[in-house]
Amino acid sequence: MSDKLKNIFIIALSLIVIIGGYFYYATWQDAKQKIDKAETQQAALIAEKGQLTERVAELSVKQQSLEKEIVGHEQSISTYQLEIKEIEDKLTQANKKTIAEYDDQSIAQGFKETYQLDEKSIQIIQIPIVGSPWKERVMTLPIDYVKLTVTAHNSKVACQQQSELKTKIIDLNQRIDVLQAQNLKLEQEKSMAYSKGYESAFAMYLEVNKLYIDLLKSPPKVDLAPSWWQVTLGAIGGVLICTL
Amino acid sequence: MSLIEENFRLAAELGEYAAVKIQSMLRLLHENTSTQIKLERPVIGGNVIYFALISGNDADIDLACEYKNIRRIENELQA
Repeated sequence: MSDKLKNIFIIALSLIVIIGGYFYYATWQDAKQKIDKAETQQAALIAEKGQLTERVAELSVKQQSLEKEIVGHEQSISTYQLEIKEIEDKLTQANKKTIAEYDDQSIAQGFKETYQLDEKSIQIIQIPIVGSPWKERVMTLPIDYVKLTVTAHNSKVACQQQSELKTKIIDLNQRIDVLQAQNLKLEQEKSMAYSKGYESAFAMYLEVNKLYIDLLKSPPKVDLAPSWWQVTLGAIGGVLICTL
Repeated sequence: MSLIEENFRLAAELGEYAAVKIQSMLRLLHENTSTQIKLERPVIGGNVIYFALISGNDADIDLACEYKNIRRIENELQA
């Protein structure tokens, strides 16, 4: 009876050891796989982050280039505006000089030069005012040449309209530049926010992943097995029982 | 610079069409009468200018204004 009990105890103990060992081995293998997977994933994410940082640096350089281009366009617009102002000022001065002229010969000469007329085409004469003893100084020219003054006036009106529209286009372009600059700034701010969030999340991930790997390497133990002194005492007890 | 030239220069401060209208009247007055006026205080780019009678009479001025369809109120000319 005693031998039988002893054998049952030994077999039961052996089974416990074998099954326990098997589960410990299986659990450790599973943990090792998870550790490998977590470490591989971490390495991949670190590499990806490195590439992302390089890409961001490239885009930042491109962004700076675009900003320089915008500044260049703004300077060109300012230069063109100054040139337009200069043309307008010159035109105003030239017209004022023409209008202020008193000498009839100079006025006629200016007209001839403007419309490329020869001397014979132009005459300055005095004609009586109808119903008055007064006379008026007039310039005669062949009737068809009068058409040139009409077309010149039409061209002037069209030119003024074009000029006004071009001014509007310049104003709108400037407005577009301002909006683009604002948009660029908002994009920068948005990218900064994303970047900050990403860095924070990545740091948090590394921290959590480290804890995860550490946990897999050293899992919390539920000490169901007897301690060594208990086994030793049990073994001594068993030997004593068997010898008795 | 003569008085008529000075008047032409001053009239040129008005809008272009008003300027040549006033100048045409001045030339008419100058070449047909001995009446002289001196223009002053032009409305820049506008059609109103003032004058002072230097010599002669108002009737000549009125006639010249009538020929050129210029309105005169006292010493104000509206082209």
